[in-house]
Amino acid sequence: MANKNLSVWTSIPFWRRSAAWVTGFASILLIWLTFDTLGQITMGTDADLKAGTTKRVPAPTVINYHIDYKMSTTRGHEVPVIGDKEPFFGKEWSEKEAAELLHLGKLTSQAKNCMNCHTLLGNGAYYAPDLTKAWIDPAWKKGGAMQGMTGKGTKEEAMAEFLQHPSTYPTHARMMPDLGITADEAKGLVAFLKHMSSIDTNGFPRNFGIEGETTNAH
Amino acid sequence: MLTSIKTNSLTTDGQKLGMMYYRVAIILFGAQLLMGLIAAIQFLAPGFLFELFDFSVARMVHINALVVWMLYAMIGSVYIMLTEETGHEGVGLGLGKLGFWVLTAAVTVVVLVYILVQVGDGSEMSLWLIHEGREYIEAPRWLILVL
Repeated sequence: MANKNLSVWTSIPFWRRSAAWVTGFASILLIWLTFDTLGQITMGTDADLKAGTTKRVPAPTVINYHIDYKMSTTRGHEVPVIGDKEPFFGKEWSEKEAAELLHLGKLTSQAKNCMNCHTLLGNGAYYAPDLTKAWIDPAWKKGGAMQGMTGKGTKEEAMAEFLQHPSTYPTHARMMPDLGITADEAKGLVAFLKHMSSIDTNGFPRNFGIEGETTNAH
Repeated sequence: MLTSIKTNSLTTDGQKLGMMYYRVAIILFGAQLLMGLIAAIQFLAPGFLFELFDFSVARMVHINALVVWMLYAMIGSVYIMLTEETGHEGVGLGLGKLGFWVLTAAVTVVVLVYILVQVGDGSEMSLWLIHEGREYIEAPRWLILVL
């Protein structure tokens, strides 16, 4: 009886069946997760914003709204909170204008290689600050260091000014190099950053909001 | 035919092609070390090569050299080991050599553009000709068409 298996652990059919079950289960799980993610990350519409419907990725026109990052008591981490309307570069942007501006910003962020120093949505390097929630970084707030340094009265103008002449405004021993960003490209980049800060990233990066402010939203 | 193949020594055309891939892999590995060294120095002395050869450029070449030397080493290994395992010198080696030179020329142009051009303006053209600005897949879009 030399051929008889003494233990299930040495049985080839057992491992064959196990491999088939594990592979099959993992495949179905991955397909389900893929479709679930597609639904979750689909960009919302302008109508969603007007109706106050929360989307993980809001429409480009979110740049016309005030964006906060607050501790959610129900979810246990910070979430973006879209507030009242506020002018962006002194005006309200139409759906088409906002989409075009955002597109320019995204192209610029790629052409200027931001990701090889900064991190965007968890992707990139850690040589320079994480940009995922840069828009709500307190340093850019009214009365914050960056508006004072650039001599600009709004967050978006201060950011655009910094992006065009980064090495003029040293904020750290590791300075940002001048990448030849034009005024239009800088506007696009700021819109791109503002939109990115409105994306619900399950609280990533952590501890970015203003301490003590909480929300019951979501 | 089979008697002319000496196993355990890299004498067949297939294995010679494999060695060509290995040589480029070693050069790229050297580039990876050099770029990594520059990036490491910039962590310690941020002014090093500032606005000349910035961290973003060093890191881009560093991680792309990493991806491509492994690709070259794997292709080279396939050429060398297939011959060894099958005792057959391989087929289509002329095309294989052409593929090697096309890939190597393309990689050379990409790296030179990374180093010399570095950044473009915010347009689709920059992503087609210079780089895509996404980590590990910085390769410009024209490269996809070549490959």
